[in-house]
Amino acid sequence: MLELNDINVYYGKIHAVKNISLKIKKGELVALLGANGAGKTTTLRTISGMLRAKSGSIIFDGQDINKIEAHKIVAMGLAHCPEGRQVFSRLSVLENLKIGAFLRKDHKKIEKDLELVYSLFPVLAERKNQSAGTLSGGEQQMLAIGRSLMSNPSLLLFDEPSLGLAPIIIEKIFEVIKELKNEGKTILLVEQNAYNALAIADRGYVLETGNIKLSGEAGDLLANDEVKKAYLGG
Amino acid sequence: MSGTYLLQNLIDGISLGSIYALVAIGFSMTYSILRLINFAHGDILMIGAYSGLFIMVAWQLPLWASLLGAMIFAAFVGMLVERIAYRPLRGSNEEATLITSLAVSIFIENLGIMVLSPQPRGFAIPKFLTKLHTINEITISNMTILIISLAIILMLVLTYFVICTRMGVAMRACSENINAARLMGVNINKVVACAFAVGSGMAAVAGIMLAGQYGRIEPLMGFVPGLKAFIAAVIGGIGSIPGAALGGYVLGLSEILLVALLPAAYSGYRDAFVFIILILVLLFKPAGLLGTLEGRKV
Amino acid sequence: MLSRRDKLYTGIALIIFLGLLGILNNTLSGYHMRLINLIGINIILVVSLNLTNGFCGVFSLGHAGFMAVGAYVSAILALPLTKKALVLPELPTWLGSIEVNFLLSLIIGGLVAAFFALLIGYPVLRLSGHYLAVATLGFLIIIQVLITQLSHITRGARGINGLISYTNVWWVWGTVIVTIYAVWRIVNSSYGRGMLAIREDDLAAESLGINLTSHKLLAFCVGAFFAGVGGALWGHLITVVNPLSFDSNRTFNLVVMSVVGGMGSITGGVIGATLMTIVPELLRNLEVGITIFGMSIPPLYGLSQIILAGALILVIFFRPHGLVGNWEFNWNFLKKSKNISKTTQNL
Repeated sequence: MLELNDINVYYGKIHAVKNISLKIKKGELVALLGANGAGKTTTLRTISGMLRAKSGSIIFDGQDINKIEAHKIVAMGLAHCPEGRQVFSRLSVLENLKIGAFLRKDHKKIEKDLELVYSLFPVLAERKNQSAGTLSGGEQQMLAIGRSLMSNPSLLLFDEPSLGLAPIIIEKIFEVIKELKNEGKTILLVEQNAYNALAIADRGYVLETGNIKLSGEAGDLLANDEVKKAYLGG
Repeated sequence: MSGTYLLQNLIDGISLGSIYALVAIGFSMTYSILRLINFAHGDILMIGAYSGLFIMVAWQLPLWASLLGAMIFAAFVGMLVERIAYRPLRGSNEEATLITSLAVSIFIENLGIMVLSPQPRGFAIPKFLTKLHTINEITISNMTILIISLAIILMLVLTYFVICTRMGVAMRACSENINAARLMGVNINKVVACAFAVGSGMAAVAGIMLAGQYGRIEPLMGFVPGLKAFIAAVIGGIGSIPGAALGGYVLGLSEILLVALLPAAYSGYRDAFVFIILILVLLFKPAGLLGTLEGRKV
Repeated sequence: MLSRRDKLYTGIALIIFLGLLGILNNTLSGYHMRLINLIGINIILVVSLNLTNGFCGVFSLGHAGFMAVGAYVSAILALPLTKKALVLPELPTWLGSIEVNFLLSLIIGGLVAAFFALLIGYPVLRLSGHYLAVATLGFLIIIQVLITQLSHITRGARGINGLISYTNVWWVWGTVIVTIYAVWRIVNSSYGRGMLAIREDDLAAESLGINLTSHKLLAFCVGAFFAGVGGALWGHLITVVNPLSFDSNRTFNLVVMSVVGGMGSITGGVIGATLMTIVPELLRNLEVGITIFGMSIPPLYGLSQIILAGALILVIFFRPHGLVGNWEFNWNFLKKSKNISKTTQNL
């Protein structure tokens, strides 16, 4: 479904992502782990067209999307739920969700997806006319996830959805991500919270200073000594 | 000072404020999305005024057609300017965009001087607009009524557009977080072009109103209103559309009232007052009346 | 700082240059000498503009305002008493009864401009980016309004004419040398390094203990001082000062010169000022209308400004840091190639 081949990304002169290759099959949930500044967010931003890889290819659904504009990539069925939630705080919850479906014309289906998001996160339905800036951090994360679902994507990129949230909410978020996978969505999950991520993932990659250091089945990574030491606090 | 004198000046202030508000809204729209101070916005106003005059004189069409035509033409020019001069600089630093917009402004002004001649031209408005109504010693011309009501109508239409349409919501999203909007599938280029078109169209109306008010137009007529629109946008809180409208009225009213209340010898200092107001607002309320400060810098 | 050898080279170059100016002064026509003087004045203005806009990152559009202040102060002070009674009969007595020599009028003009910079800078320099640019443009407009309105001192929109043409090649180029030396010393002082730090990242600079306001204010005031002196020289070259000479177009032209040459470099200022004085002068021919092969082209007013504006946009697109960027002229090219490779290694 998604394939990165030897991509290199620069921020000005900084070589942020070095020769990264990774593969996600349809229906898989893949975790991308690593410390701060390892290049995880850069990788996601490159996939969704916010940044350009200097070399290498990004194949999504059989098409190289490296040179394609961000909004067209969304139209192809890729949704990127950005780091730090980035909801539109001056827009209402409903407007936030509707803008998630910006490119869609199938109004009936949009209403249905709206109901689906509300059923995943009932709190959003309660607050649909409130401006998003008034929501709590956890609610904003739910809104960000809901918003990315509104484009009816086949591939979802989640960037640190658990960042800065209370444990009980983190649990809820990971539950939803697992549910989405069960519904057949393909998911690339970037996390610092390695344990939770690997617990629901099929496979994982570990990034260190722009390189892929390890990769493998989620269970193997969980058992791996190096991973344990570096990311699982053991 | 009598009450009628004050009331008369209030009306004049609201009329001038309406014009500033129309220009300031466009300024604020493009600023809020691109963080670009479009010095050329005032020159779009000039283009609107000239094209309006052309439609009325050369094609002998009525005022409403001239307004509509000027709006369309100015919108087109605004989009063209954005496409040619501003889009290639998307994402570069503030100085580069600032210098470019200054250059675009000088370019358009001098193109106007070259093509349209530097001499002012008369701008005659239809007879019915010059008619004066006198109520209790207060005189209002039909032109003033037209300015005030047209501004209100346009602002209502804009409000509907921004709140209820898909493009309007996208515009608000972009002004808050352009990258997140891109991730939602919003085509930034379209939104920006749309903002320039809408802002330029409103500036064109302001241009024709200004020309009708003073009875003449010249290629440099947009420079000072353009700057004042910026000031109005800052007073109201730059980036906020209602703020820009409010700022326009506040600026128009204070300009007229200051001149009215101060001794006649000071009336020549009008433009100086305006900039002193700007500097004071920037220093004491940099977020403006309705604005929210974002980022670390003012 | 300069090595002994660099000092020697610089001294020799200066002597050759001044000798050359002397020869040109005796051979060239009045028009060409005037152009050479205009180049010099623009160098003064642009190098001083670069101190604030380029080195300190304070993007000001008020330079023409400081020029105006310097030009008017110097014009009023240096006007001979007999003329003053005739041209400016309404001057306050203390102003109407003094006449100072040209040098002193230049210095006072510059100091008054610097004083204005201090007044406006203290509040305005806390702003940044766009806001600062527009606030300084506002200052320029306030100055213009003041000049137009205070007609008992300035003769308002009519301007003051009949100034004595004190400005000559030695005054101009002497000031050029002083300006370049002063800016160079400031930039290479600890103060100057503070300015560069502010330009790169003001928050980081502040956290290093650099006083933002005092650094910006110094750059702003010194820049204004030389703008005032440049304006005064300009007034006594053209022999007229009026408010229209110091409008936003003037500021724009200075910004063009600065950007084209390279805002963050003295060398860039010199090159930009020279180039952008000569090119519009050549283009001006187009504005009076010419006849080519029997086809007469009507006067195209504004064309030179159009071309300048277009050129500026192209420079921003393709060479955003100007022709020289942050590079400064040095004598390394005269040293042996071995030394050069050594210095580049040290970089």
